[in-house]
Amino acid sequence: MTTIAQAVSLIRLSPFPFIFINDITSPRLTTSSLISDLDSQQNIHTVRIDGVVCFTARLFFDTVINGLTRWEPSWEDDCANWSPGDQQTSKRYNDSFDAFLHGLKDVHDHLSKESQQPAKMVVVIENPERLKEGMPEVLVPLTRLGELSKLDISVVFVSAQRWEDIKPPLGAAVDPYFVDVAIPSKEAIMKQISSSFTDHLWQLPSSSSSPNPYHPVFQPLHAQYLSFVYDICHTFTDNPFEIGYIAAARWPGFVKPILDGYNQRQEEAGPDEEVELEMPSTEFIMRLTRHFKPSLNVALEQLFSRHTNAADWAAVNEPGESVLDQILGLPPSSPTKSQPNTDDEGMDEDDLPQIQSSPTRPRSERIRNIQSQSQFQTDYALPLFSFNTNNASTTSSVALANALPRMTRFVLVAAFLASMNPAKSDLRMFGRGLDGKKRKRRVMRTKKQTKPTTGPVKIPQRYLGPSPFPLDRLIAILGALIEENDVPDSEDMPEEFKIPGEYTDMEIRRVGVYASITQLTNLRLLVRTSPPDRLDGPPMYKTGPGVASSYDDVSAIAKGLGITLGDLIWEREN
Amino acid sequence: MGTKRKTAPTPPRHRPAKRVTRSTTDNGDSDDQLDCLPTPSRPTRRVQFSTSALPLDPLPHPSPVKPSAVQKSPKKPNQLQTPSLSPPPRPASPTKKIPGTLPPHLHDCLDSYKRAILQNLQTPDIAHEYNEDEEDVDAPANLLASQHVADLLRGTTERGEGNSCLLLGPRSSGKTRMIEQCIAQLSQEPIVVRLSGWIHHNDRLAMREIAYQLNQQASSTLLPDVPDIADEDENPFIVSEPEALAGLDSIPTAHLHALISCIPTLPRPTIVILDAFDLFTLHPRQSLLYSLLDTVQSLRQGAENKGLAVVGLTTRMDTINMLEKRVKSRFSGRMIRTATPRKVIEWVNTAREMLIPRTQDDQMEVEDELAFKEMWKSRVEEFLSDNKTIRVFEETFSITRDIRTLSRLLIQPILALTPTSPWLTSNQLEKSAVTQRIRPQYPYLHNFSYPSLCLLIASVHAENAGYPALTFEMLYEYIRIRIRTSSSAPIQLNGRSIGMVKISKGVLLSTFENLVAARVFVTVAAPSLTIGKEFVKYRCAVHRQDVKQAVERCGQTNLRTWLNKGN
Repeated sequence: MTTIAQAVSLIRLSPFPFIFINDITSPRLTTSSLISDLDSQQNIHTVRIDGVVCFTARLFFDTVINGLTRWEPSWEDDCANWSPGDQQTSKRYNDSFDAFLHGLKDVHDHLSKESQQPAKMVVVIENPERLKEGMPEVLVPLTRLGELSKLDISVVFVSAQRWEDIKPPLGAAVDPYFVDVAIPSKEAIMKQISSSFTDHLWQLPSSSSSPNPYHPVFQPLHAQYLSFVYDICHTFTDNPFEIGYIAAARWPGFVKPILDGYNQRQEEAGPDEEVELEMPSTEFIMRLTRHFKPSLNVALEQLFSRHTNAADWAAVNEPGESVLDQILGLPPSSPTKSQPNTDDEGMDEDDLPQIQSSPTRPRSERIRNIQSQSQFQTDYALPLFSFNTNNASTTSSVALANALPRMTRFVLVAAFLASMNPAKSDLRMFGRGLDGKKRKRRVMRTKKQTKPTTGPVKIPQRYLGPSPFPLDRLIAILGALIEENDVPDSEDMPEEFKIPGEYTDMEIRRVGVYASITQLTNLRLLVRTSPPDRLDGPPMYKTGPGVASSYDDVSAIAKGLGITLGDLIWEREN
Repeated sequence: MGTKRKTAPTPPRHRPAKRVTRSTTDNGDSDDQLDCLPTPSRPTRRVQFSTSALPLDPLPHPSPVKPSAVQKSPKKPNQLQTPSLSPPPRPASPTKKIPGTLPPHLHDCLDSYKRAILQNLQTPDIAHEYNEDEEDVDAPANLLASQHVADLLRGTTERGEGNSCLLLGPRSSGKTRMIEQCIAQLSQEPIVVRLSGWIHHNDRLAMREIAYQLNQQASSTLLPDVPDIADEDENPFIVSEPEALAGLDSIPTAHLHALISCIPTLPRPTIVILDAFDLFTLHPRQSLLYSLLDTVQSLRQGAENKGLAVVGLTTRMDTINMLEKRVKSRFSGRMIRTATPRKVIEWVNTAREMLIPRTQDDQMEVEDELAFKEMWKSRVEEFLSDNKTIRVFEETFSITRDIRTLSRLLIQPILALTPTSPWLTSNQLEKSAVTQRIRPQYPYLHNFSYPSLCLLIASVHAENAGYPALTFEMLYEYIRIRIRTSSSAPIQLNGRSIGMVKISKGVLLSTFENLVAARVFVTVAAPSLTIGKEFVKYRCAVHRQDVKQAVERCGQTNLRTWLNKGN
């Protein structure tokens, strides 16, 4: 007997007023199965409440009352809430907890009258921790709902958190009957997935001419497929919902070679011949699984972290025509790639909008080369949040690098350095001697402290994220960066600049630099930490969340500018 | 609710009948039970046979029953079918043969028993170990208290007195039940107003509810009791309901006093029950309490006025000190205490009371049912005198004397009853004690997925390094370095590298977010817009010892070496 079944039988036999179900993997699925089990019982009226949706007490009360009576407010009806039919005046049950209790009594009378026997009511609440945040005053009476309303009603909390985390202080709430849902085993997960994701999809062997992936012939194959997906995914997640999501996204692609083969055979066969859609051989299935294994890993990475949705992912990763040949070991009939993982519908290099607002132009050939190399892939959508997978991080930073003007990219790199390096390290990092030569200064690696220091341990900045810096420091670092990396060659240098560094000095004082800082702030790649109306002192900034604070992304951008970021970071281990 | 309970007036036979009627056989039954309480002179037959050998049920997780297989099979072969470490089956007692599995015709009995017992568990009656003859032992507090309260309420209803008292007692010591029982015993049905400090956060809410409840109860009985309408006009509560409620919204709190002082003019005596009384003292100026208690105090015995009793229920012992001076001076100062059971034996008796449901006497008792009843009784006795059971009870009793805990402990064994294992076992009780009593912090930590365990171990290492506030970036770095170093070893086992499986940052971040949702990682500072999610500071809620145990139990060598070796 599973724990959920026990809870259901407890409610069926004699509802305990307050039950707490702790499920750390998938509270949502648990709630669903609990509700469906309860609904299959006679004379138990359930309502499912989501703590996220019901964020005020009024909403909560209304949803419970409407849900228990299966009442749907309609627009034509002025969205009226449920009220007992025999009374003309509509009572309000959402004013206070008292009104809610009166409402529950009315609901109980109504339901009992309908079913001719005393009704049992169950309120299942998921995400109850939200109730604690939003309306702590409701939580305590809710745990005592049965006692307060003197009705046959039980409240079930389903949460990933523990009761100890939700419990109101001072022992005000009665202790619930605890139900701990174990982390599901393989069988449980498989059963859960097949029942909740695909069972309703299997079609009868209808006369439809074009077979689809949910043809009943494939049902045994699907079971094998599920266990194959499980084997790949279970190391990383135990959540049946996630595994099922990935499996559902890959399934149409997985069957497609079989369907392709069927279509081919149908084309080859005469018009009056009937070609049976049949289960492929074991060897073919093995080849199939071997072929799709890498794409499932990709699916895990992108779908588990929700970088994309299942439908889009399936569309992008749909296997082409040649996959069947590959699997069968035949030479490819068409040159299309099987796994178009990357979007290569880039514009030609010539069409690229070149740096428009940049005050500086790319000077040396070297830089030009670097830039054109980095522009083989383009995606003009500006991702503001870093995609953390390895390949995605480069694509996002490349996209960012292409979307931003050159000088703005310099500003971004400078801002990252200013955020991550302590101010005292600047002189060592960027300082020059009087002779104008950059002093060769090796990057200081963090050394282990030999003697124990008192006080809190200093946490490396790369763990803590960006720290604020004044605008002046940003400009100074920007100057150093430009001086090192973006100075025109001596023949290109305009006549009037005699003193070394004078040109850079002019460049970093341009309005365009300040404009690009503002632009970055608007894009939230930079965040201004000091209030805008403060006049004394320079404004403070730090790099914004996402791409701008991620070392990998910024170093990719820096690479596009010819800067090796690793050398300029003060305490970079490894 | 109230009419169900009837308590006999004398304490030793104090057995509120669950189902209304009580017959002679039932009384005999209870006598029997009282006799076999484990008093010093108790070594009865039951104790002896139960301590000798305990028939543990071999099937903790029963399988669905096959009706063909459950013919009244003798117990022995059935137990031999499944290998078990439990003691050998008890030699069949000479008088009764109790099957290990239940014959199909008794399944309904089991079901109805389960239902009845679960019902009992929710309305536990403390069985007091008290004998009037023994004079050196004080009577249990609850019996005295219920007499007090009953006297008080009788004074209010029969003689029209104004009474006020506080019922003090720890949680689930029977405060609410006692007052409800006392009200149910009253000869005249009073108007009962129930307020709770948890709902009525301010006086206005409380007033509205008082008006509503008075209206519900007074208006229905108004016509038969008081035929003349003149009374009605004087009474502000007996207006038609919507008007009254609408009116109350606009009444300033200053008028409270006037309204409440009208309560004694109602046609019947009124009892106001204030649950969580201590919270009412937090209302501004305590005006509701003042009005109520002032009305009580100034109540003069007369023909025209009915009685009013104000009963506060609270667990807070110093509640009286929280009353303002003017309120305190109007309070009678009566504080009646309730208490939880004093001895383990009272717990056991309570458990017995709950586990042996009383059958309705008017019900036609079929022979089967009687047989089942007998079997059930003897099995319950066995269960209760089992050493393990007693140990669990004693342990629990030493932690908490909350009767509700006892009920919760018993639920799971009851739910686990099936036709194949129809009797209570102490193993089940032990299991349920683990989940219901002092719960392990994270019971399934060792089953956590590989990335979750990695994050936990990384957090332990970060803490070792002196960073109590963690960021995801930090954990990720730890894991990344660890995975790299572990896979750099060129050793292969069975063609596979012994290094740790690679986890991509996206997967790890999702896992981390799941753990944050489960509050395994708790934010230290409020998240702000300007901080990227990988830099938000967290603290690990799992103790390092628990992580260690979980990693030991999960059996992944890689993780274990990482945890033990350090970075």
